[in-house]
Amino acid sequence: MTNKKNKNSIHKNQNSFFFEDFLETNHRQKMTNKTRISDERLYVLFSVFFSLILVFSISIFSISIQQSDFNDYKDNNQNSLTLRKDILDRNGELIARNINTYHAAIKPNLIKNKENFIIKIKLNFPEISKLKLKKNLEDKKYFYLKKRLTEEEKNKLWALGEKGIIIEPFQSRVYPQGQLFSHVLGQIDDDNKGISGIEKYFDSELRNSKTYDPLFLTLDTNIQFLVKSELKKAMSDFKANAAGGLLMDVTNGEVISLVSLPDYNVNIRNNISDLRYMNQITKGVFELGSVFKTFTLAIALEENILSPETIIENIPNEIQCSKYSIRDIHEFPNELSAEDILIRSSNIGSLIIGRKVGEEKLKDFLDRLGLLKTIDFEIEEIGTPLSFNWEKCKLETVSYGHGITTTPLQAAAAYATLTNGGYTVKPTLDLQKNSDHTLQQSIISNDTSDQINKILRKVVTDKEGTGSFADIFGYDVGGKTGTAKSYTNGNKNINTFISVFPTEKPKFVLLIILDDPKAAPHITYNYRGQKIKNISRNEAGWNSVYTAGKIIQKIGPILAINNNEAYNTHVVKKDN
Amino acid sequence: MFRFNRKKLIILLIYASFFITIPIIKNETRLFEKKIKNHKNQIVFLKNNLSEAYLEYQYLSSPEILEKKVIKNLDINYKNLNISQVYLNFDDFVNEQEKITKILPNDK
Repeated sequence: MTNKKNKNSIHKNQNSFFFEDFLETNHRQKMTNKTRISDERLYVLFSVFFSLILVFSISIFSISIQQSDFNDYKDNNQNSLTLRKDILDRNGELIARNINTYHAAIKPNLIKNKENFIIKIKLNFPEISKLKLKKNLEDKKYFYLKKRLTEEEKNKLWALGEKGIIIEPFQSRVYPQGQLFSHVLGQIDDDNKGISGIEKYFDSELRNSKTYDPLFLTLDTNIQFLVKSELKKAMSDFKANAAGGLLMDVTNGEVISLVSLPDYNVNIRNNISDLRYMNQITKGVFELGSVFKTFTLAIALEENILSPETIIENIPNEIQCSKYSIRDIHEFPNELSAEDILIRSSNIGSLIIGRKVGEEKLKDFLDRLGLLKTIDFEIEEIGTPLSFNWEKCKLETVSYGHGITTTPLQAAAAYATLTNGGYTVKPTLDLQKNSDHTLQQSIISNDTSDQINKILRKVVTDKEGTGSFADIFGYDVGGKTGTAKSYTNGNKNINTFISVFPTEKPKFVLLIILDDPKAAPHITYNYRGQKIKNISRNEAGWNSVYTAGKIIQKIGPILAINNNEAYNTHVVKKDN
Repeated sequence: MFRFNRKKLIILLIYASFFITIPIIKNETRLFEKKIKNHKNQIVFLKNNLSEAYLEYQYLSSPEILEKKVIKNLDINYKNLNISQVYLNFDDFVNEQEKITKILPNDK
């Protein structure tokens, strides 16, 4: 019904009529369909081409906006693919780097004319043994002709055109500073794994290929060189068996220089069995003698047992302790103030102070200073102080530094603690390791530390002091000498001087140790303004102190320039 | 018969222009990439040279070698700088010197 109505309504409104041309309509529809298909194809093609053009445009755009990263450290280092990272000093001077090198190996079965080959090799490499090469060619299936080839040697071998010569790429570690850091760096094996020293301690860090950052050490190449050259001279002047030097920042324990002589070239592998070649500073365990007197006095001052001015009366020339007779090297007045005991380095005086302190307190103090246990340091070669029982006479001998051993590194760290305001110092070679004073333990008060600094200064400036050769103008040096017999060989002296400077507000501790130095009559000493020669004495004051003075004279300006406070105070600045 | 209307003409033109430009851009990109590859090779080569030169520089400028060269080639005797004897201004210097030495008045 509704449809009928609709139909009628259409007819009503229709103005004209026409005959449907079914053929034409079909044709038009077909054409429309065709055009639609062709449009769709065009759109697809358009999209494809557009995508392509977009891809290439993006590619060109990304190429054009690429930043050059020449200034990046990793790009200045060819070795983004090296097996070990670089080691740098605190100023960025290169200490160790891996370089690409080659080994020449031989596959005898690929060599047709062996006689001819031997002649060719002998002509180019006369140092290679003909007999050995012949034997290897006959017996072995694969062997190394020469390791670590130079570029010239590699080219010579290429030029021979032998199939049997295999050039194996290899990474070699080079140390451009030669012998300078030998005792600190240690060595690596053929697989580029650290086997000693820093190389071993930081092995996993140095072989971490995820980052390119080099390892920065606290050491300073220039200072290390100056310390080494003066120590070398001292070894020759005083005919010492061995020598060691350590410079450390007293505030954060950063080791600026660590020298042990004799040393060796780390670029050349050698088997060293001579004990003199051990690291004197970290591995050497010595009875350091009078340098321990400072510790005895420090704990006495801290515990208010006495003050620097307290007079110790009736000091005998000799004290009998069990079966031992203890005496001083020189004769001293029988009344000395506590500070005078340290300045003049009296054994008996220190012994009396030690007895006043008591065994428990002294033992505890030495323990807190870290002198009795093995120190944690970033190289493998660390000595362990010899253990002992606090039995009869131990308190007496320990109070003046006998019958107790430690490493020079620990002694220097203990001096740093005493002089920096009383905060424990942990020596370190890692520049990135930040040490915060607030996290450190305080062992003595600031006042005691100040008192010790003043007394140490007097050891150098006082007429009766034992360290006058270290009184270098402008550096306010203080310190304490130690002359002791070696516990392994009673005829040998171990002479030590531990200095701190500037004593007003200590910044550095410098330890110098000489193994069995002899008198040096040829040296002209400047003794309190007088030139003296033909000296036949060999106590620490005449050699270790003298050497420390020479070193401070040389390194002082560099340290001062690097120190903002000294730089701002002393260095002339032009107005214009 | 295929009718050439405006819409089709535009599509065809775009198609033709893409047809021409894409190979050009692609070719340019290829050339760029080739150049980049060459430059990269050069960079590797230069980096190696730089690294070797840097290593050599570090060796030659190491204090030990420098000292040897100075001794061999120069006649200058270097003295240690005494930083404590350098003063910020002339008055400081005079004051310090007065403490050490007595300054005599000029008779003239």
